[in-house]
Amino acid sequence: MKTLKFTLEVDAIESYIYSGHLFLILLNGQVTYSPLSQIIYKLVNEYPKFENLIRVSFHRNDYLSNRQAEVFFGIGEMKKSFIQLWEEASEEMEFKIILDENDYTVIDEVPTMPVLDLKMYAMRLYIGSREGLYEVKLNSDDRYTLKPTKVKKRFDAKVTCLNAKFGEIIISSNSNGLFHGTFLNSSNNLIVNEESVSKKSIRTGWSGYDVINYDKQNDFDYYVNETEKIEEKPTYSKFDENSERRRITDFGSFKYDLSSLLSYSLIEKEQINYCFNSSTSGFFFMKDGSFVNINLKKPKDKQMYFVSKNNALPILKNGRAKFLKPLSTSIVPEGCVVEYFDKVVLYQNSKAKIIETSPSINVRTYPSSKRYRNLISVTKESEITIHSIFPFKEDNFPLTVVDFENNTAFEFA
Amino acid sequence: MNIPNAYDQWVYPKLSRIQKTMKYKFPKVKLNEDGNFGPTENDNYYNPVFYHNKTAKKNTNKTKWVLKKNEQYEVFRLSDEGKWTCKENQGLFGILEKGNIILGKGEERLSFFPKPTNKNDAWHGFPVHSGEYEPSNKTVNKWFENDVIDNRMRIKILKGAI
Repeated sequence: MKTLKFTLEVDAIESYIYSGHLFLILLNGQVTYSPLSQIIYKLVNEYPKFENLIRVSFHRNDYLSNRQAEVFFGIGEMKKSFIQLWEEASEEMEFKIILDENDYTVIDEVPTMPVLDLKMYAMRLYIGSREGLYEVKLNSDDRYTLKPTKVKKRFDAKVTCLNAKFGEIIISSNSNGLFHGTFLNSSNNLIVNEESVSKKSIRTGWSGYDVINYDKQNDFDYYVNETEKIEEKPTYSKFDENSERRRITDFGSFKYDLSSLLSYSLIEKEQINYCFNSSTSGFFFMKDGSFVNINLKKPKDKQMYFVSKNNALPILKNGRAKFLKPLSTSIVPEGCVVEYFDKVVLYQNSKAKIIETSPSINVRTYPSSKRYRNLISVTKESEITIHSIFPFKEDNFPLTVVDFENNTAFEFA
Repeated sequence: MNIPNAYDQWVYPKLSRIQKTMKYKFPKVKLNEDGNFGPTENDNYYNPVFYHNKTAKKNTNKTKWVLKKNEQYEVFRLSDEGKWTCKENQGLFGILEKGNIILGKGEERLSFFPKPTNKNDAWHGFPVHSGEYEPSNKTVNKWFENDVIDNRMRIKILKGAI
C-alpha cells in the first residue's frame, strides 16, 4: 500500500513534528513552528471527501491503534472500506502548499549553522550544530500553549546526533566522543557531563533503558544503564509522549561489544557494512548485499545476545548500486525507513517501498509518539514531504521491492 | 583458485557501471618513469599504492578505490591545487562532482591523502567515510564557500553520514 503524503514548500534544512506543531529550522537559521492543525485544515479544504482519513492519518494516529480502533476495524467491512478509501486517496492526493512567514512563528535564530540534528523531548527542543548544543524550553506553565524561550547554548562541541529518553539527553560528537546530560536538576536547564563515555560516537540508538553507541557505521557498543523511579516527573507533551516512570541514574554501568553480542548469531562482524537497531532487534546490511533483521534476547541476570535466526529483508536489486549503503535509518511501527544517497525506502511487511526518489537532507520518524507514530517527514532543499504509513499489517508477501514512481515491482525468493 | 566473493560478483560490477554513467571527464594522464603521476601545479606527485587499488587482494583494513590509477590522480590533483588541507588530519581531503561520484568500493564519496613525511616524497591516498575520517569544519566550510559541495552534502559530511 502506498503512503498518503503532502508537500510543504519552504526553505528549511530541518523539520520535526511534536506536540501538535511542525518545528522548522529555516535555511537562514531561524527556528520556527507552525500548528499542524492549520496545515491539515488546508489539506482538508482541498480534499474534503478524505477529511476524516486525513485527520486520522496525519493528526490522530492514536485513533488507528487504540482499543476502540481494534474493535471498529475488527468488523471486516469497516476495514475493507478504510483500505479502499486509502487506496483512492493515495492515488489522488497530490497536495503542495507554500509555507510562508504568515504560517509560522519565529522563536529565535541558531547562532551557528548548519544544524546537524534536532531532538524534542519533555517540552524542550534540542538543536545540535557544528559548534554546539542549544536548548529551547517550549513552555513554562501549561501544556497547550507554546511559549518558547530563546535559544541557549548548553554544550560546546560539534553535535552529530541527539537522542533523549528517561531524563537523559544523549549527545554524539563524533571524534570528541559520546556525552550525556540531564535537565532533572535544580537549575531546570540541561547540564552535560563534560567527561565522555566513549571516545567516538557517530550516532546512538535506544534499546529499552540502554543506549547503543555507533562508533563506526558497522560497529557499536551496548551500554547498560541503571535506572530509578522518577519522583518528580518532567512536563511531557500531552499530545505526544507517554510519561516515563523511570530515569537513568548511572549511564553505562556495564558495556557489551558487538562481537560478544553476535556470538550465537550467524552474522560475522567483519561482513557487516552498516547496522542500526530498534528497541528489540538489530538490522544489518551485509557486504554481500543482503539485509537482515535479528532479535536481541535479554535474559534476566544473563548476558544478552542476538539469536541465531535471521529474518531476511528485501534488497534493492534493481540494477542501481546506489542503494548499497544507508546514509541514515529510522524505526517505524513494524519496520524501518532507510535513506540512501538519492532514495528513501520504507521497509515493512516484507516489502521495500521506495517513497522518495531524490536526495534528502534528513528523514525523521516518530515511533514513540502517540499521535504521529505513523508519520515520516522528509526534508529536502526547499520542500518537506510528510508521509503517513498505511496503519495495518498487510498480507504476507514474498520479499518485494516496489517503485511507485516507475510502477514496477521486483520479487525475491 | 581465486573465488570472487559476493561483493565482487554483485556489488562491484554495479559500482563500475555507475561510474560509467556519471559524466566526469577524467583527463588522460600517464605514469612517469618513477611510477608516479604529476606534477600538479604545486609540484606534487601522486603514487597509487597497490593495496588501495581496486585490483588489490582482499584486506579488510584497507579501503579500495573504484577509480583507475589515473582517475585517482585527478582526485588528488583537485585536492592539491584547491588546497583542501585539513590541519587536524594532516593531509588533504578529496571529493569529485559535489560527491555525486563514488570513489571507493565501500561507496565512499570522499578521499584522504596523508601528507608525506618527507616533503619531496610522492603522495598517496584512499577513499574514506566522513564518520571515520572527519574533515575539519574549516575544510568543509571552504568546500561549501567555493561551491565544491552543496548545503546538503555539507550537512552529511559534518554529521559523519557519508
